[in-house]
Amino acid sequence: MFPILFFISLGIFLGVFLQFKRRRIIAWVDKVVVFTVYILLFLLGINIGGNEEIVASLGTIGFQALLIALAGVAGSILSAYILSRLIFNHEN
Amino acid sequence: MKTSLQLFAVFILGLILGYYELAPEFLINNGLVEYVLYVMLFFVGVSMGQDKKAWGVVKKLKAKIFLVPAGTVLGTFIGAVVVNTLIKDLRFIEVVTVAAGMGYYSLPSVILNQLGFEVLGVLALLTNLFRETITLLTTPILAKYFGKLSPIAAGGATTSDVTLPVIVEFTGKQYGVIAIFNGVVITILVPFMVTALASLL
Repeated sequence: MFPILFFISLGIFLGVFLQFKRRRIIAWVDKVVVFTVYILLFLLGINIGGNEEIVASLGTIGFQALLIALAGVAGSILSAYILSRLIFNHEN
Repeated sequence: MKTSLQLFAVFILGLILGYYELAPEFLINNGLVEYVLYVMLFFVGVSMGQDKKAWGVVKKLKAKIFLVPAGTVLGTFIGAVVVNTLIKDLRFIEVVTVAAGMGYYSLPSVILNQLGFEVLGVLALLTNLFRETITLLTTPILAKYFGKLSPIAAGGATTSDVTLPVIVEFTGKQYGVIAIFNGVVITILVPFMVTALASLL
C-alpha cells in the first residue's frame, strides 16, 4: 500500500508542476501509460502461466473462481449503473 | 473492443510463453511486475496531476464520492449471494469471504492461508485475479455501454493501481480521480472484511 501511494503522489506532484511547462511532455506521458498497460498484462500472463500450482488448479477451482469473479463484477456494475443514473447523472 | 482484444492477446501470449517456459529468465520474476506497476503509477500520477479539471470532480461530488466504494462493495456482495445458489460445493460464507477480496488477490489469499484455509486461499487468489483481469480486458466495453462509473465498480480494490491506467485511458482523468478514491478506500477495507468474514468460517 505505501509504495503504491508514494509513486502516485510523486507523479501527481510532478504533474501539477508540469502544468506550467511543456505540453509535449504531457502527450508523451500518456503514451508511456498505454505502453505499460500492455507490458503489465504480458508479465502477469507469464507469471500465471509459469505457476504450476495455479495452472493445475485452473480447471477445478478455476471455474468456481470465474463464477464468483463474474458475479462480483456484475453486481458492482449494476450498482454503478444505478448510482450513475440517480446521483451522477449530470455527467453522461 | 479492438483494444480489449489486443490486451487479451498480449495476456494470452504471456500465458503461453509462461506455461511452456519460453520466457527469458528475467521476466519470470514477480518483483518485475511490481516495478513496472510503480513506473506506470508514477506516469499515471503525472498525467492526472497536470490536468486541473480532473481535481474539480472531488470538489463537485463532495461526500457523494463515498457512494462509489460503498456501491462497489454492496454490489459485489449482492453478486456473491446470487452466485452462491449456483455453486453447490461451497458454503455461503465461503463464497462471500472470497468475493470480499474485491479484486485484491495478494493479501486476502495470504490472510486465508495463514488462518488455515489453504484451498480457500487459492480460490481467493484466482477469483480476485480473474476480477482484475476481467476489468482490464473489458473496461473499454463497460465504459461504452454501462457508463463510465462501471469499470471503477468492476475493478474494486484494483482501481487505485493495476486497473487505474486502463480506466484513465477509457473514461478520462476525472474518473481517474474517482477510481483512485474508490481503490484506496476498498483496499483499506479488504483485509478487515476478509478477516472478519473468515472468523465466521
